[in-house]
Amino acid sequence: MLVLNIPKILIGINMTTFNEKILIVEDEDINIKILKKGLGKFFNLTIVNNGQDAIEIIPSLKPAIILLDVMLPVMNGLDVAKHIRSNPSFRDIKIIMISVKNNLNDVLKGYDAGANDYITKPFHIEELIAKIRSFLKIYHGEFKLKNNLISQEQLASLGMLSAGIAHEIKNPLNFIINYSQMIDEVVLDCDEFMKNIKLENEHLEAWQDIHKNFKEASTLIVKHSFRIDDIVQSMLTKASTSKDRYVPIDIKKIVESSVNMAYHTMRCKYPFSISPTVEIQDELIINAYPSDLSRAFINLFENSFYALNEKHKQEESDFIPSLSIICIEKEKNIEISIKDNGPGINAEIMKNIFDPFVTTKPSGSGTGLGLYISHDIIAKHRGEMHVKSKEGQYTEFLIILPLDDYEDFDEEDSP
Amino acid sequence: MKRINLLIVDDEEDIIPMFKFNFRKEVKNQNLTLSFFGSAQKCLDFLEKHKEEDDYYVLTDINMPEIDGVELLESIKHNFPYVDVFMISAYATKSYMEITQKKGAKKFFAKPIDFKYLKNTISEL
Repeated sequence: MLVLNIPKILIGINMTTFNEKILIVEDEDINIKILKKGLGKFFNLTIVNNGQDAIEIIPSLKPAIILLDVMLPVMNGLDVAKHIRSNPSFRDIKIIMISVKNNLNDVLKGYDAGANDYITKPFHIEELIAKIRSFLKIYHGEFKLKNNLISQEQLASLGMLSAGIAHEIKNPLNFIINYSQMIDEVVLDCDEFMKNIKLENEHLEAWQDIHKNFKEASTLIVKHSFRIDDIVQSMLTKASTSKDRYVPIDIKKIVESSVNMAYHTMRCKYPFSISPTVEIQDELIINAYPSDLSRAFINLFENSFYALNEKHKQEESDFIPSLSIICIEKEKNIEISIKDNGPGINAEIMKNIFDPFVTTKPSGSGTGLGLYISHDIIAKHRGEMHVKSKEGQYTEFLIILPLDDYEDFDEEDSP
Repeated sequence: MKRINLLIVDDEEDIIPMFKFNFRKEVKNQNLTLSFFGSAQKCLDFLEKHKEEDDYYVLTDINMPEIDGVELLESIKHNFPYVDVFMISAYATKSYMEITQKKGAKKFFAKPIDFKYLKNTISEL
């Protein structure tokens, strides 16, 4: 019954991998010996002899697993289990009951009292080790999940906070922009005024200098205030997206209008020409927040156009910019591929490309919120967004949106 | 060009020099008068007093304490339907624009105010 053949997989398990505490509640010396010998090598054990001691030690020990004998002096195992389960802060503790009572009724009573598992004596120590390992895995998994949930909640509240800050910043910022524009106009007024005044050479030069500095400063204040405004606007757009209505939309229409919008914005800024290839199946209908979804696409297209222009600036004239947008239906999903032959994305940037404030554009040109917002919007539509890229060659964004929602909707509504 | 009376409603009085500056020429040439109101109520009181005259245009902020811009719009459309109302807000969202348009607002200006656009609109009145 004792461990002679330690399975290989167990050898790696020592106190450093599993340093969670295991509490053994057992009153019989012979059983204690067996458990100590079999488990002591792998796990961090604490042993108490009765139920009352167990309950007293749990709050300070914080064990991950309790091996609980059922027949105990002072307070029996079933009552100990019930007591543990009555306290929500101990609900993650896994209880393995160990008992000689092996009829179904006793086993069920054990589970009823809150046991996660029930094994009957005599047992194989290897089996117990395997069970403990398995429960520790679950314990770890739950722990991680809980932490993830907590950090998601923190992130959500951070989002609310930043939207609040954005609102507060927006009002004074509007004043800064309007009044710096006013300074711009005052400079023009000065020009008008000075036309009628004749200055001597020396004074004229001094005046021109003052005038130039004035003009420069006001222009820069306006420019950089608009930069802040861009960031604040993006933060507010993100915060207000929930107001959009969830309606059935034709993906072709949304993508085509987004390409058009991004294309015309691009034409104003960049000197190269391109005709994007757009291949989209007809009548792919999904439920979506239309203006959000357009925003998500526009951000991607704008990035592509920007990237293509960057490559166009650097390369010889034989570079032919291309952007292809292909959308197909695949296994109850819509897959949209957006691929450009721009300069690609550096592997280092790829790691956190969807994080806020990550940008490759020179400072002042981008807020670093575009992809973050797109990713967020796609996630809100229960979709996924992936990116593939090879530096110097291409970048491809793949968006997968679920179709089934609309079909359900359709069936219900059809006569 | 007829003389325009522009009533500006905003709880932030720092907008006053901005408007005075941007419309300085129009005011000087007596094409336009500006009046400022720190609250919607003050503007309503003014309109009540000047009921006989009908050449007033109201330019109102939306987010204000007590009576907000949307409520002011409703009240003006109800009591003084001959007065045109323009909205200005830092939050030029689609839903705000649609709501105010439905309630009878003539136009919606986003903050920071594009004075060129605002002046153009006003010169066409």
